[in-house]
Amino acid sequence: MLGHQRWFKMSLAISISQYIQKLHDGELSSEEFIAKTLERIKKVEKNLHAFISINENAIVQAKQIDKKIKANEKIGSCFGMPISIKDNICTKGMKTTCASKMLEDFVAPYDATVVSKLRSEDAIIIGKANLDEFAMGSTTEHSYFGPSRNPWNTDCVPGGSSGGSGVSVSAFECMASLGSDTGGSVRSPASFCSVVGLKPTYGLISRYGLVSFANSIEQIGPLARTVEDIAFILNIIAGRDLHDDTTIENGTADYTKDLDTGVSGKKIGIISEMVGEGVDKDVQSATKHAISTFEKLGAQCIPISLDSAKHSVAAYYTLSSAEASSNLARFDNIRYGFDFSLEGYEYNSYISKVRSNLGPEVTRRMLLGAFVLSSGYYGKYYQKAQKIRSLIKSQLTESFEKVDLLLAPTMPILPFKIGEKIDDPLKIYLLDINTIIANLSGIPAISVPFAMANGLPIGIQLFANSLQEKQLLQSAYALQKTTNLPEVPI
Amino acid sequence: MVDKKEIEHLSDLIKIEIKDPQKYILQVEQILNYFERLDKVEITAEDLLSQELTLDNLRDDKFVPYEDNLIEKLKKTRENFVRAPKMV
Repeated sequence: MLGHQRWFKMSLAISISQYIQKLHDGELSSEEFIAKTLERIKKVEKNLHAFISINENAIVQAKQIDKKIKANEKIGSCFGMPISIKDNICTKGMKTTCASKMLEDFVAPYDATVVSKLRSEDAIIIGKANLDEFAMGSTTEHSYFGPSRNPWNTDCVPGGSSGGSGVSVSAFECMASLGSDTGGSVRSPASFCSVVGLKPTYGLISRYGLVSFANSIEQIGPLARTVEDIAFILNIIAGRDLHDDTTIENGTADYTKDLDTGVSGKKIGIISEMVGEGVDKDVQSATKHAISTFEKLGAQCIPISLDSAKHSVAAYYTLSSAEASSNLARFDNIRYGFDFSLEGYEYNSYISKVRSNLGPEVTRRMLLGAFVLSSGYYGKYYQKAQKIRSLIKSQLTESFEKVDLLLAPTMPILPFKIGEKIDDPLKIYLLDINTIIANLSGIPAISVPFAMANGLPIGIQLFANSLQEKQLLQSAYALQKTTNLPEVPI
Repeated sequence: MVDKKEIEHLSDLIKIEIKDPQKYILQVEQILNYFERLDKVEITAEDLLSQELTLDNLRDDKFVPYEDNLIEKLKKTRENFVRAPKMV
């Protein structure tokens, strides 16, 4: 029997490596930790709503893992740690709703590659995290199941679209999470919830089993409380996958190695277009502080102009809406979906009627996508957006000839009140101004918690050239080491 | 200019019945106006790089049977059929 004393002492606020050590030394069992996590979830979920569903079998799975450890059987590197998965990533035997009425009861018949990789390392999928419907949004307010709330101030949005992922990691409802990042959807909640979030190089992580929104742009990415934890998860999920031919062979890269290399002698470009006009004063001063911190650590910081970045929002929303309008054409509610009477329709009207259950943001994006692709407008919007995408890519390539990394605040403003901007979609789109270039060009980017203002988190974003994740993580680690941030108040 | 007729036309293209087209007119127009800036960007011939993608590491084109009986996971099935709505 577990002593009461020990039960209460055991903290959920430990890093992945501490967790593994404790499991290894027999100081802690997976069952204890999962039980404590579920207790925590029960306590905070009514205020936070990070999850759409919780894994009912988590305790049973933890017991099986403890049994394996006891019997000295081969055990995966995750030792039964709880991980949450954004609900647009397929999990066998658990619902995958995409936070949409259209997939309310959908249970995927297979695991996404990232999920099967985690499971084969004995991770426990503790629950499916809330998101904006089909990952379209930057606040998690567009979930059919209701918004998630920011654990630092529950009146505020947690960012999005992987809001539930950010919240669950920040509020100790899991050790790490997987989100998806199409225009900043991992980095935005990471910044707003004070956790680390990585958007990897396009192709580094398999998208097999991720419900498609904009295939040419999106990537799955991890969220965790420290850079070391991100590196640990990345080691497991990165690499070539036969089910996704856009994946890249990354050899035997070990992202957890040499994290403390430092930034001495590195050149860091500060993106001029992302630190000035339109950026909140507190965010500006945190950015300045981050720059001087890097200089103190021995890096050289120089301003870099990326003038194509100012067109990135228009280009991104043109391209992603176009891809979305074709990707979401498959949802007809016939093979799976919610109950809808099959009787008595005029030819064609069933599909339009049933699809009116898509939420307003998804509908808006589909309208935009259909418009920019329609005849007469294609050259004006879609083709131009593709050219700007190329321009951004070539300007970034040029920049990386001069510097090793680029820096900008992740979000131009602090977390804001739920409902405050919901009627002004363009204003919400413009919040992605600092994150989108990574998606349009395919380069990796990371958001690191760096400062607080008025009790709300500020994240600093670093970009590196394609497949330079190792360098990116090393610099993020150096920055993280200088911070001393408060614990989440919930 | 986006008007009610345009929204209705688009709604037909995307196969989503829109009960209140008025709600979308202003927002879609505002966003499209913002997109207008794309057309104003001067792009020289040098910038017209096409997206290059070389795939030389494709898997073998081999039939791998899928063991799971997927049809059981679909709704409204009878034997091996999915029931579709009656459209007349």
